[in-house]
Amino acid sequence: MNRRLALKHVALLAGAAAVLPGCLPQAEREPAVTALSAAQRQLVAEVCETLLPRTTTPGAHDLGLPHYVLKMLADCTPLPEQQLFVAGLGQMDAAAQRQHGRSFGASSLAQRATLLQHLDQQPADFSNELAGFYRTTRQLTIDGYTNSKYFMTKQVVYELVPGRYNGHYPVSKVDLANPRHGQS
Amino acid sequence: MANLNIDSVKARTFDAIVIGSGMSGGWAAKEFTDKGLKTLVVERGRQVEHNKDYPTTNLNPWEFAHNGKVPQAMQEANPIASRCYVFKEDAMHFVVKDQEHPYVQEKPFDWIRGYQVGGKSLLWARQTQRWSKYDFEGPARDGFAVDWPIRYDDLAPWYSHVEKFAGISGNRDGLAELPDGEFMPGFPLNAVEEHFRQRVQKSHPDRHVISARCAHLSQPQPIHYEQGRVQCQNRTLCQRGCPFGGYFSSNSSTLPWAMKSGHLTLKPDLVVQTILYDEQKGRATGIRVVDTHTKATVEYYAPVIFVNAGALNTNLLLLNSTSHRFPNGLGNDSGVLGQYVAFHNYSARVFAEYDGLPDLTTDGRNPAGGGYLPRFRNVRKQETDFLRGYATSFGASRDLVQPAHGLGASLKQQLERPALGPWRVHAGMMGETIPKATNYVRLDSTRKDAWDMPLLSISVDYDDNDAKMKQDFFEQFTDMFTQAGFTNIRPQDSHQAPGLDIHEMGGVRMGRDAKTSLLNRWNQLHACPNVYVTDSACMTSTSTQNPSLTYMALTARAVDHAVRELKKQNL
Repeated sequence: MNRRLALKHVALLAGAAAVLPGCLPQAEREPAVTALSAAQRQLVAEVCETLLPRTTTPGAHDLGLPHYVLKMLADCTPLPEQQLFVAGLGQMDAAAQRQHGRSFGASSLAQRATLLQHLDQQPADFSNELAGFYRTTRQLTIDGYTNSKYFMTKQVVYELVPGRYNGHYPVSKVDLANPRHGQS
Repeated sequence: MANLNIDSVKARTFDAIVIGSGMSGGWAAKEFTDKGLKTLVVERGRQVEHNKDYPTTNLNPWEFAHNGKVPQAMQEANPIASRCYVFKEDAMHFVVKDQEHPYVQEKPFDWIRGYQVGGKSLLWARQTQRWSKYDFEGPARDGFAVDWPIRYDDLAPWYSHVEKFAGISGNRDGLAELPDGEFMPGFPLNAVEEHFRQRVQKSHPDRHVISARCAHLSQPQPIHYEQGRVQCQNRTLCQRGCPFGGYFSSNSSTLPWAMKSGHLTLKPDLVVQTILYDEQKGRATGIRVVDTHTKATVEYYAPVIFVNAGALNTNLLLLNSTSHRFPNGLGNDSGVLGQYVAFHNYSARVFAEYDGLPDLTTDGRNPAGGGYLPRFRNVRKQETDFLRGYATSFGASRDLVQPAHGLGASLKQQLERPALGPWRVHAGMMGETIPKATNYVRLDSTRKDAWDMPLLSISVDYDDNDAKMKQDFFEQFTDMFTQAGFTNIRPQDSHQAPGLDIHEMGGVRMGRDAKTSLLNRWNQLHACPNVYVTDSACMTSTSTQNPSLTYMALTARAVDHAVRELKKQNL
């Protein structure tokens, strides 16, 4: 067995379970992610860009992460979790209205970030659907980012062919942006 | 017409037939063709040619459609395959889909299969350990199953034979319970694996943490270059098929070698329905196969037949090979065909963390996986309230940590310069299970598959001995981890069904007595000696070693015997 792979798999499963609050019945009537409207997709894109904005380096939009998030939801996520995501997405504008008096899309970049910070730090202030929507979107956006060609060639570099193994490597010498010492 | 028919029979007649092209079938092909025999290998799955048919092998992570994950619809359609660690986006095309090849579970059993040229040798975990004398003596000493008709000394030269060709990396550890072999340099233990080795040496001098021995070319020899294989490049993407031939598989090694001899005919997409038996001659004469696409049947003939279909499919084929002489399956005078199936208990793990050695990490990747502890329970005498024992895989690693909270520019910065997490360690049990008549496979009486083969019905389960052994594993590793200074120690029972270990064995066991076993000491059916079974079905007991190396050695030894017998006209 490939034990290291299995281990990582266990960690991923544990993470996925934590995203799933016990409120699925209310979300049951929601459609799957494939049925989202253009406006809803736009809202997802705005949330993704708020999570990982363009700075001196590419952001969510530049790297196509909204598409990645929706694809992973549509293709690789059980329907109840998709429905929870859709239900939470449907509550985003109302939450933005309550905090800033306008929809998420009409909010300033700072207001968008403030709302997501609140969801990030105090999810208990929000419904389970909203909190779940936020956690899922955040995790998938991060996954898409760290799995992107840009990130894996320019930031924390992935090596297809390491050609070596050192089991006693000094942490002080690790340079993740160096093709020889990036992620495994 | 008569002449045409004779020509056709001649064209379908070989010196040897090998059923299956996986781990052991590939070896049978190599050994027969090395000795100049015109050999037919039939494989039920499709062709997978080395390099040419490894579609994902050079893909970077971002080139996969789903980041390596299996789409939900595929998971839901394949609950059994989805439980297998190798069923991921990069290798799922090498794993049998549940609905294409149904079977009957009288008790839960995850039957993981790889129907293609090379079989599961493409996908295996590549761990290779010899059995010791204590393992072969086990059933006789402890009074279970039947006595093995061979001992370590019978197999030792054949272990050497296959190790040199396959290429095994490991250290000469000098342990009676895990004999040394023909090794290239072992892959080193990392800092925490080494720390654990030293602590265990102090706390339990009779227990040994060694580098895992594996079928990777750490220092290739001329024989490996001759196969077109080069040094392992530490990719650890083995399940995709390796463009370097860095690990041993039938596809990279034995099959192309046999093909080069000019003596091999390899026919994929053929399911063997039955082994043909001639009542007058008292011998098997050939096989009847069905083309998986056209459903046409055809017969092939040879004076000797090797059955290497993979443990449970070998049982299925023999059970389905009935005749007036053998109404209950070929060679099944004893009635034990299909019984005494066993496996390895992989359902227990212990996880922990280590705060020490924070200044060290690893660089590159270790294809061996890490460390290995040979069985230390009941080795020289019975010591516990359960029979036999377990080997253990042990590994340590550090992951990059993603921040659990936060967003925006600061999140980006944290992702781009991630912290290194703590050392995480894990131990995985590989427990010997006791073969029993009540763990069996049989033919379903009514249902058949698309190729007119009866469905295999599987009834295999754990027992009290397994439960006691697992408890002991949890206790011992909790204690050893504690003494090593590990923290947050978490025993975990996966409750997985048998089968997911992918180490199913037996059903056509070897033995000294034709009344209680199917195969003799040369892997010949007692009652039909020109049929040899040298895959996992032949195993009398399971011990704790990863078994493939032993199938390779048994196969090479049996081919040597078969060719000698053919020359003496004994078959």
